[in-house]
Amino acid sequence: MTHDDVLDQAIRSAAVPVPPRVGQEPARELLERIVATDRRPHPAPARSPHRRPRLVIAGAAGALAAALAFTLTLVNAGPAFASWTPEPSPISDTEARDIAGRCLPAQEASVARVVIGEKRGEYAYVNAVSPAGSQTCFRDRNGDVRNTSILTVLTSAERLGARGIEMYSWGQLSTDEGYVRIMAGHVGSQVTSVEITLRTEDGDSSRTARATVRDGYFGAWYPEGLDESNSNTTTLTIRLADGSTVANLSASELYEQPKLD
Amino acid sequence: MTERRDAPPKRKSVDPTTADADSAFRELFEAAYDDLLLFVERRAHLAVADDVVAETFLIAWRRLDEVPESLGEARAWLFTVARNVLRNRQRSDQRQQSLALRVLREPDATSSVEADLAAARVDLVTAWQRLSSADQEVLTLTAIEDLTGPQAAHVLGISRPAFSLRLLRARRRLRQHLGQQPTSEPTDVPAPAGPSRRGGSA
Repeated sequence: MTHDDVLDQAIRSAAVPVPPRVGQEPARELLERIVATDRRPHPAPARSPHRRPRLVIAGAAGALAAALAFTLTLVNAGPAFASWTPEPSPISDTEARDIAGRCLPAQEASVARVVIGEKRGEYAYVNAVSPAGSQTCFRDRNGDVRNTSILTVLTSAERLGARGIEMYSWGQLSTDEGYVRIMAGHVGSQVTSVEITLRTEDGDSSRTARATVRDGYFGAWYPEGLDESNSNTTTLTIRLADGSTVANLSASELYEQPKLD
Repeated sequence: MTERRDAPPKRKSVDPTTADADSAFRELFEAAYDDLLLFVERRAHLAVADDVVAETFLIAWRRLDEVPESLGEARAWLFTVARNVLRNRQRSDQRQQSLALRVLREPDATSSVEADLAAARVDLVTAWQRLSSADQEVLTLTAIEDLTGPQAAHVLGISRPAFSLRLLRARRRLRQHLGQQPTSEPTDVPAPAGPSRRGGSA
């Protein structure tokens, strides 16, 4: 037994013992309450037999090359997410509302306001805010829509101030092409753009994605395999209305705690 | 406390389009409820622990096809979700402070353990309370909650090498507070915790 094992054993021995509670009434009630709910209030339609037409990208050659380089370097997934672009394109309000309607429970969809709607290649991403908080939705290349975040209550605009930034969602979503990272946040009144930079562990390679920023919110997603996500360093750079920038904001730290102005 | 498992059992594979989801979720709930409730209670005000557990299991129900099949990985998945739920609640509460982990107990005055063991435990509790909440967190994830290094790193949202380094330093500081000197000083650059090593002992 190593020194570490001995120390761990001592910690375990000193921990508070608690009897099992899964058989008690509160746990049983919770289980039955949950399984009585619909898992997918708005099930996605059957997969369409044909793929969506690919988005026409301005400056297509350069953008696609950059996207491919990013994907191959960071995801190592061959042709997966080949149409992903580091620059987002907007989607129509109608399309965004359709995605939100297929992703959120009915009672939330009816009152939710879409604050971010964007496309990157064949994929779409929506962030919808309701009085109860914010949720994000992702539509994959097959047209399947999934809710990708927990309901979260936002830091107020007053607390964020002019230059603050809050990243309240940074989850990983499994798709049939591999894992993606879904990012959502809230920014101060003077923040005009957000850039996300991923650096590989050895520091030899980095790639940047630009977030959609609108009405005090930002959102972005990017392919990132599980192994890469364990070693990549992710930072954010925000640009302000006066042209100044705040760089190297650690995504991990921002996810822990917002940067207030 | 979590029992250690050398060969974590697996849940049934879940086809989200069938009624298998109900039985698979019940199986997950039965297996993980106590561990998840303890995980949350160690990190949250007790008044909100039940709500956080409920929210976490509701998310698992809605996203059951994403929950790993292996029970060990499924626990880590639930812990990650619960930690995010907690973080969002703390953020919205505008408290912004970390709660000290409620993990270690003072020896019971009527305990039958021998006096030297009781004294050692007092020392450990005292040393534990001198640790930062971040140090307590990494030690709890590995020693108490029985996560592997990669699982614990994922729960915290940090890289495996970063977790190994945090764990090494936390253990070192706990030993320093206990007045122990390791027989050989470990390096500052441990090997990343491997997937087969419980707790990623660095």
